[in-house]
Amino acid sequence: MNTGLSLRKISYYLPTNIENNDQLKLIHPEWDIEQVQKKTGIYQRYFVNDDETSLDIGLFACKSLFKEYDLNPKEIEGLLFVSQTPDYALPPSSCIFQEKLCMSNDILALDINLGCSGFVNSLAVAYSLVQSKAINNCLIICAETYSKFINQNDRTNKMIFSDASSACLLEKSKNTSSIGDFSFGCDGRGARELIVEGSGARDPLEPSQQNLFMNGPAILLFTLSQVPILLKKTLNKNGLSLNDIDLFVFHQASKLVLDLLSEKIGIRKDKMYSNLYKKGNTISCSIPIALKDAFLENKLKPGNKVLIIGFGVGYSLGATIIRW
Amino acid sequence: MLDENKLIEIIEESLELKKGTISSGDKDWYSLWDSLGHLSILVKLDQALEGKCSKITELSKATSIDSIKKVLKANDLFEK
Repeated sequence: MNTGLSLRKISYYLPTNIENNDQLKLIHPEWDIEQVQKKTGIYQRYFVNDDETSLDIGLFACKSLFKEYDLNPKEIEGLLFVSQTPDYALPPSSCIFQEKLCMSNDILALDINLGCSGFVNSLAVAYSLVQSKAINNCLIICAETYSKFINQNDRTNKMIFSDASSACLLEKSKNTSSIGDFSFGCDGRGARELIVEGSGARDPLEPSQQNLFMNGPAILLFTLSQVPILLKKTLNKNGLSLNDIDLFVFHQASKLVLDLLSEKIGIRKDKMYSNLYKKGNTISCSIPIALKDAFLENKLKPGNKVLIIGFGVGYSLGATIIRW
Repeated sequence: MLDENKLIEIIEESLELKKGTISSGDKDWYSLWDSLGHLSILVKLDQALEGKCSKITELSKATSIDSIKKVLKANDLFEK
């Protein structure tokens, strides 16, 4: 593992609107809410106001990060913004963040369009840039507002996805923190299994018709077949075994997925972190939020080895091991 | 490898049906085979076939007993 890189500075923001399953039951008495909750493990979700965007909530997470860790935005040299719900097709939100956060004009600013694998894959980009000495540190902002694409009558998606944002700083450090080697995966055959048709330049639709479509069974099969392979590859690359890992922080897809992966891979229940019940599936934000929560709950301590793995839309995957 | 009886047992368990519901000829149970029900069926199938199902992408669209049998047969996982 490459020592001297730390990812300990993480903050996140959850919108003020909360919807729980008891409220949903009143709106949709025909839905079998208990049955769905049993599978998803999710009780409540967050969503933005109509006039709020990923940029707005991303700013909240950044301001919270700067305040919590007393950071000077002018000293940040890289900015990656991960989202599938940006404010505009162009310009990139990362440039707007630079201005709104009063960051240096010498900064490298990039948008990355990825969902559930977005955090890990962006971390790989940030890590490479810092390792190559192109920059000395990098801010990774994740912000998602899937609620804008979810049809109110879509039982599955409505009960899974939650809006959120996170901000974290990858920086050189004198402590023992480190980031290991990465593994990646991509299979474009799954591109249409999680999609918002008409949301881009191809066959555009009116905004009201742009609905999130998710083929849950197809994604489940992809996940069960590919995640164990990627995990094994990541352990091998880093010269570690399953028992060397103190905590597994997977993309928080659903309880069903996490339970099945634990069983298939052979991960002890107490080592598989989940915060699904109160946070929902926050897409690209799920791993940084889970890392922060695990740290606050004392489940992640300095020196611990944590394996993170993101998987989903595309299909795309990414994994690495962090020494906290 | 699965046979007809085992497949029906898996579907009945997955959809939380009483044993014998499917063979009774009553078709009302089919309304329980929604996307969530299908997930449960895939999970139990994968467990019964020791992880071989997760590699068969066609199963995600196989939403009837006959279509599941067809896909499993094509992959040598169902008695012919």
